[in-house]
Amino acid sequence: MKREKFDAFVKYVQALEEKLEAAEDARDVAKYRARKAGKTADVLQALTEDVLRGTAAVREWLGSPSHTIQELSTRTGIPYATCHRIVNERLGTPNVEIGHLKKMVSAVSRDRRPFAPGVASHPRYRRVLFGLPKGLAEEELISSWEIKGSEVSTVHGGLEIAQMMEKLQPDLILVDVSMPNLEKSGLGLLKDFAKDTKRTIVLTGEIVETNSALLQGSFEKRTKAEELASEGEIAGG
Amino acid sequence: MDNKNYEIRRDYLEGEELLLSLPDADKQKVELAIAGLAKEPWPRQFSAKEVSDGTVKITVPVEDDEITVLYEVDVYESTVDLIRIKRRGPFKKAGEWLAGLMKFEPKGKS
Repeated sequence: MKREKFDAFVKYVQALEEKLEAAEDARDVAKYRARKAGKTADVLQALTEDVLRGTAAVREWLGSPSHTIQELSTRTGIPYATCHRIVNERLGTPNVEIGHLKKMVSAVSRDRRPFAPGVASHPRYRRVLFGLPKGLAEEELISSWEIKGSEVSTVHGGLEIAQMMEKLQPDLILVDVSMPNLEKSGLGLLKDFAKDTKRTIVLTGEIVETNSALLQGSFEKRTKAEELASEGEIAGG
Repeated sequence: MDNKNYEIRRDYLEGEELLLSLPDADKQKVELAIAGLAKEPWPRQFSAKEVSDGTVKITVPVEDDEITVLYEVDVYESTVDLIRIKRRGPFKKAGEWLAGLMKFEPKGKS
């Protein structure tokens, strides 16, 4: 290995080390401000924004950890696996830092909700389970329900639905019939759901499947758009 | 440096248990450094460094390690709120490791 490449490696790791220390400090300051601020809606809103800015700053500093290590490897000619091992052993994983901040953001957001105006204290459906294929605009859907005061959980696979059913005992399930990895047919699974919940809603755009559901007699025919708009449970339909 | 006295507050301090666990001599060093903030919230001898708006970090050398103290200074209220006391151990070790690397002469093709 050439001497200059080796020196570049050392310099790069040194820079990463400084960034990690700065990230830890930023996290400590954000935590302190959260505790000092108390839990009023306005202050927590500001704090959430602060922490989000902190997360963005850490991302800017560290970039994607794997990308950073790849860059390090490219710059120095040291194999990727070696760089990865050295950086992780010596400096910890940058992901951990980002993970901490993410947890803080979600903790603060959770704390904020009961104080925010317009959040229903007695939602129509207390526990809601979403079964959606990955890629749908789920964040928007979830926050629309959360603002109504419901506790929302999401699963992306058919196999997880049954487990979550047992665990959460949801009042309402919103499931896409065409979800991947459904152990039995989606309709069979939905029939089971109907026994345990106040209501089951099929979210599907597939006409054939929706009609099959109707034939089973337990379900109302609604497309996603109709469901969202007519129930009024989801803001903006 | 102004002549006012800053009030040192520990209401939101994290890491106080670390301070208590230090050997007496080290504990005394750190406590003295903290007490000194009442007169000078940006002490040069402890490499005071601004972390973000209003927050400062000092590094106190102790036996085989360094202790960092993070705090917020409010010049209008004349207060110093201690935020976090922690060891700088991991970063110090990483620094030593890097110093070792610099001395190392790699073998192989050049």
